[in-house]
Amino acid sequence: MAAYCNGDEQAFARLYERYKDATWRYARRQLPEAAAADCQQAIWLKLIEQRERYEPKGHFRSYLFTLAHNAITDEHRRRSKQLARISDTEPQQLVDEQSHVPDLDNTSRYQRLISSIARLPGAQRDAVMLKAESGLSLSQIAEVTGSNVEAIKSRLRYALNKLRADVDGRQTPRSRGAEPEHD
Amino acid sequence: MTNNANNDEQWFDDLYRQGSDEHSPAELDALILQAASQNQRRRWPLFATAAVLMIAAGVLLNAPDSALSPASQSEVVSAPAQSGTLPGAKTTTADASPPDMEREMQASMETALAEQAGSHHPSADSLSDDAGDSDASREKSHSETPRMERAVTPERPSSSAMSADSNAVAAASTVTEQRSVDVPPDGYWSSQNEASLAANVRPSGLGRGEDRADRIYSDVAPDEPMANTAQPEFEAPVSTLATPAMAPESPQRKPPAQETAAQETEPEGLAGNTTSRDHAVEEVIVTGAMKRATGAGTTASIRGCPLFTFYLNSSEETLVELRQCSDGRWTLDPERKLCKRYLRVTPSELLIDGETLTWADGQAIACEDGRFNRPKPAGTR
Repeated sequence: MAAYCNGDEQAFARLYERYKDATWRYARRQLPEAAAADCQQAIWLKLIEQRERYEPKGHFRSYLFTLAHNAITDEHRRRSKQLARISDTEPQQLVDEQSHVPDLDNTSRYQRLISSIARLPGAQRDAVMLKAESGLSLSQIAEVTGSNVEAIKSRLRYALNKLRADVDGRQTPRSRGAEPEHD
Repeated sequence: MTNNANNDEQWFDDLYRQGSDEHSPAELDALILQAASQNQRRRWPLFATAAVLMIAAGVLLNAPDSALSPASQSEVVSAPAQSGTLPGAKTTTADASPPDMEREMQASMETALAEQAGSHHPSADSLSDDAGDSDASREKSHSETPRMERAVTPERPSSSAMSADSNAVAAASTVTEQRSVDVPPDGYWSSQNEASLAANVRPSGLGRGEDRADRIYSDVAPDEPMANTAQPEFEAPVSTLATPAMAPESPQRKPPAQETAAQETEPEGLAGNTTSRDHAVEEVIVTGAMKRATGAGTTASIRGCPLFTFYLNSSEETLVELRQCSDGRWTLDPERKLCKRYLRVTPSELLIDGETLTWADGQAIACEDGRFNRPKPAGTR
């Protein structure tokens, strides 16, 4: 990133190649495909725009996924307002196509995992995807999301429990209790 | 974390890594990389312009008899190497004693430059992030600056003072001549150059040749009158779409007369008639985000809907932001918020029918799984 800030155009290409799939999956697991594409563009264009103001204080990943988190949050807000305003919307355009309940016999475990991730509450899903894609520590994830480490741990714990229960049908003591909604 | 939590985490990591093979769409990748390139190239003209402005200001302030005006700057430009003296000196052109005819041409050229500088002052636009034409003009200035320097510097005596002066000459040229005008090697303005300058027409192509990235965000195509393209804003759809001067005259595009006729009918077409059906999209739309990233473009409005438009060579591919209506039609109307997709397309592949976009053959645009039903072009791609 520092090289890109200094005018190395190829540095951006290298950055993009290194992180684009991670940011894409991070957005894709939380939004429909078209919205995820918008988000992906927003994330990287914001990085381009803010290049001159970038200060290498911490890890680049924290910076990048903070942009990503904010972009997804903005997209969710926009879609909420849009849903309230538009009455003739085709349902398929706004419903997350990943969240349909899979047929356990005919879908792979990975597909069931993806489907289950889509059905998680927003904050838990965000924590899980950050953990899966960003490579950040819990404290860094807390910083990205504007939360604290204990809250992130809690979200992850409940989320992973639920995911495992959905995918493998394994019930754990925690999964039987009420899961706090951290939206 | 407890053992169960660690176990769950490990389970998740193992399973997620197994199938995590979803990649960013290639089209999106190209869009973003292009935006980065455009933004990077735009930085250089900003710095270069700022630097040459400072140098020019220093030279002009130190020059005893040179006024701070475009006319005097053009004097510097016009006679850089005739006498070998400092360009800012009053005696430069006097000592050189150009022929009377060339002096007259020089005066008319200075007048044109003065008018140009007055209508499109570089300092106000160059540093603006939202300037439309100035960004394209900065890119051209940047592309032209090396040529200016190549044309000027070989004629100068090799001395640090003269090289600094040549930079000033190039700087002044860049400042006052946003649209490129070649400085002939001999420093004299030929009738060809004078005519070109008067018409505000670039005598030759882009300095970078086939640099497509510059062309895409250029709002001035070759042979396009500069005065008309200096307008940063369109005030009305009619003027926006029906400005014949803004239609590029490159061989790949339609003749201006046809474009003018078609564009003039477009507002009526938008009002309900379908006379625009056969009018190919010469102006394509890029996203607001792209505009913010590149700083290029101008705005127009159709039916009150703001659009960002660029004038492009019809053979150039660019990104178009399409919006989908609830009935499945695709439109350019940014007020449609249901679905937004980006389509890399050459303008000639699309038609505007009212607010609806179709392919050039009239086929409706459809998008499934992120892929558009683009017809196979006949030798266009």
